Amino acid sequence: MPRTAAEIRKAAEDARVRAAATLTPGQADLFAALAEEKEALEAEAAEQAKVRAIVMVDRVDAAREKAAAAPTPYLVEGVDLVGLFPLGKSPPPASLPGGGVIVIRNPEQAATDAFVREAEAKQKHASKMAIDLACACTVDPSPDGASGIEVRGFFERYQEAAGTVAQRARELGGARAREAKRGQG
Amino acid sequence: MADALRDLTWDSATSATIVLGSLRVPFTKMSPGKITIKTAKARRIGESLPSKRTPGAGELGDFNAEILATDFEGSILPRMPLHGGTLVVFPILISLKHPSITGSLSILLDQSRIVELDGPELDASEKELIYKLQMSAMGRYDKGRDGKWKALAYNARRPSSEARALMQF
Repeated sequence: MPRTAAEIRKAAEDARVRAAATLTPGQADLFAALAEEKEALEAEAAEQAKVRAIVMVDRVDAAREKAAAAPTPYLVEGVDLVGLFPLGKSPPPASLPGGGVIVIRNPEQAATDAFVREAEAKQKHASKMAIDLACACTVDPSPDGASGIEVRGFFERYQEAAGTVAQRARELGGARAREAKRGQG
Repeated sequence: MADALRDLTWDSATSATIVLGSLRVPFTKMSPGKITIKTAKARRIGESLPSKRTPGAGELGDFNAEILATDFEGSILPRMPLHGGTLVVFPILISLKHPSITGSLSILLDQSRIVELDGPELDASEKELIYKLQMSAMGRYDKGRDGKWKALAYNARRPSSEARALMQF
């Protein structure tokens, strides 16, 4: 038998009363403090993201000048590594390569050839292939010496991040993320 | 299918590579340099057995390795100067995965150089081209399940900047 509107309102009011009685005043206060803390951390992360965006512009400009002067010019793009992680969940930016900002290029022909060769051979894990490609496409920090080792160490530790960076490098080289469906261009 | 996946897991688990920045150049064969601490035991007159021992002098032996000609040509040779290829210095990282190892086992050979180049041996067969190398390293560190790099010898020198970067991960 269908309930009446009065019965439904009564049930909702009862639920509200039960919910209010679930938390003690101390718990309610603690919950409010946790919500405030979360909001403050999100605001801090947003401000830090703005600083990294400014740093990224300078680094990408410098990389673009080098790219244009190279014997075979290439395209560059900045990647905010902190932005690859959920808000407030990333490793400390100071511990990330380039302070959390790297610059990638479209894959060199040799890097693409190696990637395709490994994919066809099916003898290497996709994650390892992505790490190799992400490392080969990172131009800032320098791939040589200790900074290059840090870049590879980061990608080996966070293989999903390597996959994202490798995919962005491929897209920068013209690869389409989603194949166009027939009849839709 | 399951066997193939397991083989793939084990095949890709152990690695021995020359570390050139973000590039890793794999060996086809290598044995890590042997480190020996030579001590002398001084026996005082009248003692049956020596009661004192010197701290010991360490010696890290050269070691042999083999590398595919394609890797040598593509990654090592471009980094060599016109003369004095031995001046190219790099760390070597060995990561071992084996059913007998529960945690992880790694070996780091710091400031390695190529001191002898041999090959590739040519013959009229479908045989891979291999360069045989003799290498010299300045330090050896081993890491076990506690995650700390440790050395058998006391080394007053700090590890190279590349080795320190590797040790973070």
